[in-house]
Amino acid sequence: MNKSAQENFDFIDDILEEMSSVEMKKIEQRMLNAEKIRKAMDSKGWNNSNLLEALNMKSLSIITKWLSGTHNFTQDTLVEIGDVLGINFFEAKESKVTIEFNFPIMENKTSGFDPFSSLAYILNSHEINLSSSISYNCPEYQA
Amino acid sequence: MFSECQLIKIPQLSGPKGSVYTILVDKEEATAFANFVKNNASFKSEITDIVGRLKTMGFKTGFREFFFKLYEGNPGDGVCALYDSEDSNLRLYCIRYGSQIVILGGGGYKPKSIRAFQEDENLKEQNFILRNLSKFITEKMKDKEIWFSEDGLDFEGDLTIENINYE
Repeated sequence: MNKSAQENFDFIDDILEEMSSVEMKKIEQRMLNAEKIRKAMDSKGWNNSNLLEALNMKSLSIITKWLSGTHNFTQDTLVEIGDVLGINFFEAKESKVTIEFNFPIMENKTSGFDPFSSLAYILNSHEINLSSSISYNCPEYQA
Repeated sequence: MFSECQLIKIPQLSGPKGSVYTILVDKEEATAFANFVKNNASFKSEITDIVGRLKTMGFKTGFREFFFKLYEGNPGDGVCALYDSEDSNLRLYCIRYGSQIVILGGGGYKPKSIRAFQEDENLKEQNFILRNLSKFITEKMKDKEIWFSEDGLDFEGDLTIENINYE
């Protein structure tokens, strides 16, 4: 058994490198369209004949071709298929959006919280004089 | 027919959706898929398309049955061919194991004049290699000498398949 053949798949690298990214995307899109059609058919419980009938077409082989992942669909055909299957080939893909919120880090004042000193701190820091205020004389704050 | 056949994974075409294997038969210098590509280099665009489709299946879709021409072997043996339209020139035989593993065998030029692969000696030979291989793999699985990995994406165990009936 020739062991070198096990790992020698350089020819595949060569083929893939020669292929343009657009060419690869075209192949992928044809197959993804086929997969989308098949999934929609499955969810409706449809076989190839059901889809053919819904599209008012006659040749069953065209459905096989569509599902083979090799067919280059026209936009009109995709609209027609999408209409009977209730899917949209042209809607933007759902994408994950990350929104970052930045909050200032607040000093944790809950430990050993003293409402009276906290109020005094606030009043002092804002130069508020409430010496004659009723609230300042509130027994709760003086406790 | 073969006396020994080794399953070899093709890493470039294998991805999160499935793994592509090919076979190295007896004393051959190259794998069946390498020979297929080399012997059909004149159909460059078809070869490129086949490689692109296999890579897309390995990485994006899996080896879904509608991408293949099914029932090219004996009932239940999984032998199939990658879908080829009437106007294409090449036929590539495979064995599908669900949508996660495919073994690529050989294939070749598909003459327009023939109606069935049996009419072409090369295609017939390549097809029957896979029919036999599928049978031996099933036997090895029953004997627990070969099995699927936990994620179903790989073969594990002894990947050398011997043909005990070979003379």
